[in-house]
Amino acid sequence: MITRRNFLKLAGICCLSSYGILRSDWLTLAQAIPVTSISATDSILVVIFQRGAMDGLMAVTPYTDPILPQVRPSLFIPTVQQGNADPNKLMDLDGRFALHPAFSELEPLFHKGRLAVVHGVGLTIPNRSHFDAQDYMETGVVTQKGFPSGWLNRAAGLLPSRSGALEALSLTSTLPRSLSGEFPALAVANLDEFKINLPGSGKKNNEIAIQKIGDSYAQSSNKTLRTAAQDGLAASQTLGEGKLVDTPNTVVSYPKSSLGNSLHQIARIIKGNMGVRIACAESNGWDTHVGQGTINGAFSRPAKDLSQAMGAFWQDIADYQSKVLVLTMTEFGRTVRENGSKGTDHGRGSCMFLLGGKVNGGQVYGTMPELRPENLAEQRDVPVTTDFRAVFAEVLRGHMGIQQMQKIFPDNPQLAGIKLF
Amino acid sequence: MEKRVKGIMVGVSFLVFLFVSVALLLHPVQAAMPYKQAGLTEKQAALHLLNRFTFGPRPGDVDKLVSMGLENWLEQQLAMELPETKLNEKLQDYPVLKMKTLDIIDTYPDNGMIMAEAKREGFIPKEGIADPTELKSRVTAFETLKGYRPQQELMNALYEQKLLRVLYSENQLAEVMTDFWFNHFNVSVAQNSAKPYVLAYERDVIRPHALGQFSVLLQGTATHPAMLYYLDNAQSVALQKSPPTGKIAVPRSGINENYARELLELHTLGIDGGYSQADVQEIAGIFTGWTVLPWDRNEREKIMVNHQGGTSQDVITEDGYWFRQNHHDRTEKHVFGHVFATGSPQDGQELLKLLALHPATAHHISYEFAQRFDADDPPPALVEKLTKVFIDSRGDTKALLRALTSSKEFWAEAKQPTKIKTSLELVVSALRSGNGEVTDPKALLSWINRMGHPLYNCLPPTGYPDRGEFWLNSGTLFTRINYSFALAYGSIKGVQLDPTLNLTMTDGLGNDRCYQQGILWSAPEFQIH
Repeated sequence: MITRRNFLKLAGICCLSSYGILRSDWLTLAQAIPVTSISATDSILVVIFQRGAMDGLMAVTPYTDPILPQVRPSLFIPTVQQGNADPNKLMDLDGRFALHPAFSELEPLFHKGRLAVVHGVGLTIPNRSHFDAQDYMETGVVTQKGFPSGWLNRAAGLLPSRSGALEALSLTSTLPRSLSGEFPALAVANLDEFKINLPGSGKKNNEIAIQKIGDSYAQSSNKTLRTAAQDGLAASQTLGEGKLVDTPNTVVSYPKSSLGNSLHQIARIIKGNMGVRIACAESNGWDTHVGQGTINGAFSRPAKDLSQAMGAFWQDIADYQSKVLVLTMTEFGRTVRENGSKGTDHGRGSCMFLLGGKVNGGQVYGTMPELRPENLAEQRDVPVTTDFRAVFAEVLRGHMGIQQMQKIFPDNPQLAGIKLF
Repeated sequence: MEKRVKGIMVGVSFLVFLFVSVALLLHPVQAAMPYKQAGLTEKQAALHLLNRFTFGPRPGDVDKLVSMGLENWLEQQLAMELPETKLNEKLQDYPVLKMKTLDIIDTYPDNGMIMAEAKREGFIPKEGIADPTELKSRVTAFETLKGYRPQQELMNALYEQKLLRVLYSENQLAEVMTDFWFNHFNVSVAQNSAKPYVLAYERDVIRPHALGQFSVLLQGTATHPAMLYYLDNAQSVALQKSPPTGKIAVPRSGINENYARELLELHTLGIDGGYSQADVQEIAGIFTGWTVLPWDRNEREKIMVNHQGGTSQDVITEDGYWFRQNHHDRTEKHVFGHVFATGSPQDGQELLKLLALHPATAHHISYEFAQRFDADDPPPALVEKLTKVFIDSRGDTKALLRALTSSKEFWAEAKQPTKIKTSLELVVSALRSGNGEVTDPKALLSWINRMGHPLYNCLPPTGYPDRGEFWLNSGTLFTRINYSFALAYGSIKGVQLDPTLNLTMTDGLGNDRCYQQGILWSAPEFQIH
C-alpha cells in the first residue's frame, strides 16, 4: 500500500534525481496524494486527553452510595436536581449517577441521548504514575513499555479511505503519543500561524523560500525533520487552498482556554470540509491533590472548561453532528477517600465521556460497585471494570468502520462486553 | 603529585606554568578527548563541544577553542569562574534578582492575597466593591501603601534574566547544566503557590550547584518552598487524633503522597527503580511536616519569635522552609531495609542521601544525561559508563561531563549529530551566531512561547521531554522558520544583529543577504546541534 509518507518519500527521490533539470517541485507532487472515495458520510473522531487524572467519582457521582459522603466529607455534594437550572446541585442522570454541577452543558446532551458515560474505565494493571499510565493509554499497549506508536496513529493508518494531508492532526504544540507513529500526523497549535511568512516580502518571495526550504528538508537524513516539513507543507497547502469556516462568536462562544481554542480550530477544519478524520485536543489541570472543592475548587475549573468547550464545539458543528464523535480519556481515577489536603491522590478507575451523533447516549455504561473497602482496588480505589481499550475498540468499530483490532491492540486485551453504538 | 608534574614546566614560561598548574589542580587526570579516533578534526570537535555545552557558538568561538585547547576550555567551563561583565551589566535592570527569598514573597503577593489582606485590615469592605474601577483604584492604593509590586514584574524578571543569561553568560556550561537540572527537578509557574518562589529556586538551589554534587541538588530542592508547594508536600501532615479546629481556616490532617512518589519516580530511582506503593507511603510519612512558612509576614514573624524562644524542635531556614514538628509523623518507618526513627528532619535528610547514591539513581541520571548530551536514544554502553562514574564519584556532575567527553560514543555522535534543538536553544543559537544584541527580551520570549513550550511553564513534574519529536513537528517548524526570517530581516523588537554580518535587503527576489541568512537559520542543519 502506498501511504502518503511513502509516496512523499518517492517524490523526494524524484526531486533528487531530477535536480537541476526540472524545478524540484515536490509541493506539486504532494498535492497529488492519492485520495480515494472521500464520502460526505465519513466519520470524524475527536479525542480529548484529560491530563492529570480526572476524579471519576466527582465527575459522575454515584450519589446514592452510602459510603461516599463518609469518606469524602469535604468533597461530597449532597443535593441532586433534575435538569441543570441550579449551579449548586448535582445533575441527575439515571437515579444512581449524577453529573458534577460544572458539567451543565453536558447534562442536556445526556438526556437527548447524545452523551454516554462509561464508568470504572482504566488500565488493567495497577500503575499510578501519570507518565507511565498516559503512555500505556496512548499507545494502547500495556504489556510493553514505550510501544513505538500510538493507538490513534495505527487507527489512522487503517482507515478504509484516504482524505488528504489533514487526515490526522492534533491542535496542540506537541504531537501526543496517541497520534505519533508511522502514519503522517500533524501537530499545529494555531492554524492561523501555520504558514511561512517572510517579513515585508511579497507572495512570490514567500513561494521561492518555501520551495527552497521544502527541498532542503526533503533531503535531510533526519526523519523527524523530513516528515515535519513534508507533512507540514502539504497540510499548509491544503489549508491555503481551502477555507476555514468560522461561526461568529456571538452565536457560539468557546471558553478562552487552550482546550477552547483547540476545539474551535477543529470545528473550523471540519466545517471547511478539509478531510480531517482524527483530531486531538488536550485538557489540563485534573491532578487535584489539594483543595479539590465541591461546586468551586480545583476540580470545577477544568470541569467547567471541558463542559463549556465541548458544549460550544457541539453547537458549532451542528450540521456535522451525525459524523462526529468526541471521546474523552484520562490516565486513571483518584482515591475514593479524600486525602489530608482536601484533595485526592492517584487511583485506578475513572470515567469516559462519548458525545456523538450516533452513540447510544443517555446511559451510564460499565460497572461500579458500592464503594465499601472490600469492593475497591487495594481497598482504596475505584476498581477497573472496563479495559479502556474496550471503549477504544468500540469507537473504532462502531464509529470509524475499522475492524482490524488485532493490529491496533496487539496484546489482545478483553475488548468485548460494551456496546455503545 | 600534580605539583611535581608542574615543576617540569618551570623555566619554560611563568605564564604557561601558571596556566597549566591551575588546569592540573582543577583536574589532574583529564584525559585527552578521543575525537581523532572518531575521524574528526580539532575544529570539528570544537564545534561539537560548543554545540552541546553552550547555547550555540558565536563567530570566532571555534578558533578560540582550538587555540586554547579543547580540554582546557572544558576545565575553564567546569570551574565556572569566568567574569560576567557584560551579563551583570544587563542584569542590573532587575533588582529583584538580588532580593532575599522572603523579601520577594513580601514584595510580590498575588492578587488574592492582596485582596484578603485589604479586607482584613478594613481597607476594602468585606463584601467587596461592586464598581470595578473603584475596586482597582482601591487595590492600587493599598499596594502603594504596603509597598507591594505587581507579580507580573517578578515573572518578567524571571523570564528575561533566563534569556539574557543563556545568551550572554561566559560560563555557558553552567547555564546548560542549570537548564538540565531545572528540567530534571521541574517546578512550574503554572502552579500558583510555587510561582513566586521559582526565581529563588533556580538562583539558590539549582544554578550554584549545576556543576556540583547530585546529593546537594536533591537536598536543596527537597526543602525549597517552590518544590514543597509544587508537589504538595507543604500540605502533607501526619494524621492526628483530634484535628485542629477553630482559628485555622483549613484544618490540615493527612498525608499527601505526591512528592514522595515523584521523588522516587522522577528525581531519583526512576520509574523502573524497584519501589512499591508501600515505599511511597512510608516515604510520604517521613516528609510529613516539611512545609513552608506562611506568606503573611505577621504570622511568619510570630512563628519565628516562638521558634527563637528555644522550646520548639521546628527547623526554619531563611528561604521559608519550615519543619513543623507537630505535623510530623514521628513513628518509625522502613524503606529499602533501612529504619528511620529519629522523628526529626534528619530522617528525610538521611533518606535523600540514600536515594542520591542509590545505583538505580545513578543509572536514571546517567540515562538522562546521555540523552541530553549524546542522543535521544543513547547507546547503552555510554549509559553504563556514566553510571559507573556516577557511583564512583558519588554523583559528581563534573566527573560525568569529563567522562562524556572521554567517551567514544560522544564523538561518534559528532560525525552526524542527531539532537534537535529545544525552542530556547534554537532561538538563542541563532542570536549567538549573529552576535545578537538584546536590549529588550520580550519579543524574543514571545517567539519562544509561540513555539509552544514557554520557559518555566511545564506543568507536569516530568519536565519537558528530551526528545527531538517533542520539540519539532510541523507546527513548531513553521514557527522556527518564521522566527529565522523575522530575525534575519531585523523585524524582532529589541534585537540588533552584528552589523558586520552585513544583512541588507536588495532586490526582494530571494537574492538579498537577509533572505540568505533566513534560509540558513531555517535550514534542517540549523535545527540540529
